[in-house]
Amino acid sequence: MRSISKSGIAERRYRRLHVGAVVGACVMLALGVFCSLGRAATPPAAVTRTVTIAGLKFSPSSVTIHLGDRVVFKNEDIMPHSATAKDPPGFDSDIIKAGESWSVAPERAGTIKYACKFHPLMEGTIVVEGP
Amino acid sequence: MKSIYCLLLTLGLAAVPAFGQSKVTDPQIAAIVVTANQVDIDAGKLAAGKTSDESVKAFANTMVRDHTAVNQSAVELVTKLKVTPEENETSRALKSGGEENVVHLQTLDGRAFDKAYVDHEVAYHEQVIGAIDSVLIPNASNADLKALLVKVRPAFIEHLNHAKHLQERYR
Repeated sequence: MRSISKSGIAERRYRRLHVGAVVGACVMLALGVFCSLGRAATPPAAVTRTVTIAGLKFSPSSVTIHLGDRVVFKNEDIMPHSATAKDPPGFDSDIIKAGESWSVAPERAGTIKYACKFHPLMEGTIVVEGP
Repeated sequence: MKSIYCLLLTLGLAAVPAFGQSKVTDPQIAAIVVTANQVDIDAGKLAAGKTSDESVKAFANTMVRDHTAVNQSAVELVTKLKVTPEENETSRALKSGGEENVVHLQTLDGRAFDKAYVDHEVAYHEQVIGAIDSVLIPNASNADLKALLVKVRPAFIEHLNHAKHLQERYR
């Protein structure tokens, strides 16, 4: 019968603890990597920005959004307006009646210049940043 | 006298009445606003149907659309306020000036028509903006009526700038 000395028992306990610590660290590391990958794969929530039309002006005249975000044009004037991209192929709200709104979610990154097609001196810009 | 009138007609100013009254009441302001808008609606309808220039047609259609919207708001407001528009020296001058302008425009065609229409729009909007600033807004006693005048002022400024932009093509 093999006898085990006191120092041998302590050594085995030490090894068990060492292995447990290494396994634990690996599990934690794996969980961390998994969580960070999960965060990177989830796109940021879409945001809606409002452009007010009042006094024959777009306000703010320039908005910066991310791809997937939406811009709402709210007509607070008493006459109809439009939000129409200057360069085709672009968006065109056509008539936005007084008190009504219209929205667009640009599908490409870049700078979109737009105007009211009834009042060509009314201009604005949407800057769409990519992912 | 006739030659002066002809010169004014050529400049497109004869049919733009002066806003002679310096003190006006709310019922008189209501009549002036409605008449001023109607005058430009009538000219715009004529121009939209007669011009062959797409830019002038678009401008004329905008004048009809915007001034109709302003008049709808004005009528809704005076109805709510129980104000009955009261004809006065300025509203009568605006009406007769508008009628003269339409009669004059009907005698013209092509580029001469477009130029006369656009010149008149510049002169008309300058006069109306001057009246809004110096007569109508200062004399409006009802807060809602004053607010409406303040709200429509930018439209007249935009119309004036738009008309001036078109006018550059006829110099």
